[in-house]
Amino acid sequence: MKRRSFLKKTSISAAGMLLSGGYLAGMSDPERYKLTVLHTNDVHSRLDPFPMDGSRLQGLGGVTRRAAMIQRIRQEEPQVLLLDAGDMLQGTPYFNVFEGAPEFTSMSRMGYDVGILGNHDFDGGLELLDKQWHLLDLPILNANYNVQGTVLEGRVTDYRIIEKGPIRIGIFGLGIELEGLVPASLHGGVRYENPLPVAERTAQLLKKKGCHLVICLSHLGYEYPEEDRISDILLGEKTRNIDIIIGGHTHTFLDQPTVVRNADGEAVYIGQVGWAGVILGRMDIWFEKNYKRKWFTCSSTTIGDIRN
Amino acid sequence: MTLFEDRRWPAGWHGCVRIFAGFSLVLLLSGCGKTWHEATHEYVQYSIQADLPADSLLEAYLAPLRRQLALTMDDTIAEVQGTLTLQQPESTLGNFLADLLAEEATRITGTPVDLAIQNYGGIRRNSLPKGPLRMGMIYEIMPFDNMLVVLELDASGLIALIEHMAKQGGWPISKDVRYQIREGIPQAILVDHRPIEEGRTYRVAMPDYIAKGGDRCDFLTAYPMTDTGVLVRDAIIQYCRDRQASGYLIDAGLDGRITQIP
Repeated sequence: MKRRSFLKKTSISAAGMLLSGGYLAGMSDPERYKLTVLHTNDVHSRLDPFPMDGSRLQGLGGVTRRAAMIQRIRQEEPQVLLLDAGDMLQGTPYFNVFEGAPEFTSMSRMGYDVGILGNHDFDGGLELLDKQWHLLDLPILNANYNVQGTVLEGRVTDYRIIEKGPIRIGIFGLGIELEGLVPASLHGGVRYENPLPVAERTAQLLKKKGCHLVICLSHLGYEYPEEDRISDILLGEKTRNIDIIIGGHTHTFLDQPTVVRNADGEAVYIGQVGWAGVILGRMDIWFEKNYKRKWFTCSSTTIGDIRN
Repeated sequence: MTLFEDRRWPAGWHGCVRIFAGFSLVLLLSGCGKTWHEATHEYVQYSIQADLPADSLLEAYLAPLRRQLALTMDDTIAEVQGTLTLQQPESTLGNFLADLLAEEATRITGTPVDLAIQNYGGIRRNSLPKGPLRMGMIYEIMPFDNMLVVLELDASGLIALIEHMAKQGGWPISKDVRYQIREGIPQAILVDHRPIEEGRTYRVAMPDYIAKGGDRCDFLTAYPMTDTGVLVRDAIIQYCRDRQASGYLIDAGLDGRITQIP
């Protein structure tokens, strides 16, 4: 985990004003439309804030405060998309004792639109997923996991198209290699496929189906020292038609999205917000009716004091 | 300026640079119909911190579960003398865990182990604070249901394991081992004051996750394995309870068992 110093803001009202200004502009102009994408990753059963015990992330996180924050943003914004990039499970006694029920229940209650399976989401085996699946009121997408013949068949799908006003958003998921990471007894028969061709194919399909925005939820990890090991950076650079990658697995604290150029030279935004739900990431995207994708600008802020 | 060579551009520069390219494309394609495109991004991160309000409905759902957990997880099972922290290549928390796994594996199997290891990524808390050690903290350190096993490695298997650990910056290892890491490669390896001997079998305690090839340790799967029948987490709990019962505090230091050579 990299140590970073974050820009401190003493109050959230400053950004609130800034953002509601943009919202008004978006509503009054028929050729402009605003979408708000919220994201988390690697929450790891951290339903309660870290205890005040002197640890690095003490006092941060907690699902009830995140829920209230999301609720507040929903009241201010017309179109919100809430996404998670995997490893919902494992890490606190909640998981050992209640076997995923509170994690799945709280995500459903917060109104998550889409999630994916990270490697630790297999820690209770397929039996646990089978038992608790009914609590998940959100689609789980892993396009590069072949789940045929397992209890995940018909449950885990490749992609989902969501319409927010006039905007069609295509979302698909990518999971990490399971071999050497998850014991076969736990992932029982789920087969990993090379994410690159799957991503290329799925993103192209989504654009063909008229999506204005393609988001990849990835549990591949942000970046690795090994040059050829697939990561979000490599994925962004080597494919086409993906606009945004919301990543996880490496618990990387990015204070703003990284921009890479894809195989067509187009911008891909890669975001990840550490782990444990200590940060909620928010990307506000203004769409305009244009003849061609314009090169957009990006600004970023951090709200609150992140002790790290 | 290296804008075009630079793989990653700071997001703010992006717009200005690309306006030139975008301008010519707009002219070329102006015959096509208009559709929705991304125009502007604004990015914000919210730190989820204590002074934020909580959602009362979700709290009402969670509170009984939290109370139920507290019955067992708030139990104090031992006392930590000084805060233990996790670092690479060597750390107080890592030494504490590896040493106790060696001790517990020896006790449970009735035959001494030569060493114990624990994969760095498998330790899920960065510190154990000074003061009461609660049951919940052990679950947070070791949430996985991994079994404590003993693997019988030959010399080449042990060397391969130490090479693997060194390449990844050093994993916790018990006190009878010494080695140095230079550019990711282990050197001057000693086990119980002696170099690793050809023809000898080494009993190595570890989580079954590693013994079964996890964390890219597939080279270990061919070696004979003895399962202690005890979860790694339960071994930690047992050790801590025993320390408490005999009137000792939990403590660990650094002894230079793994050193990084610059």
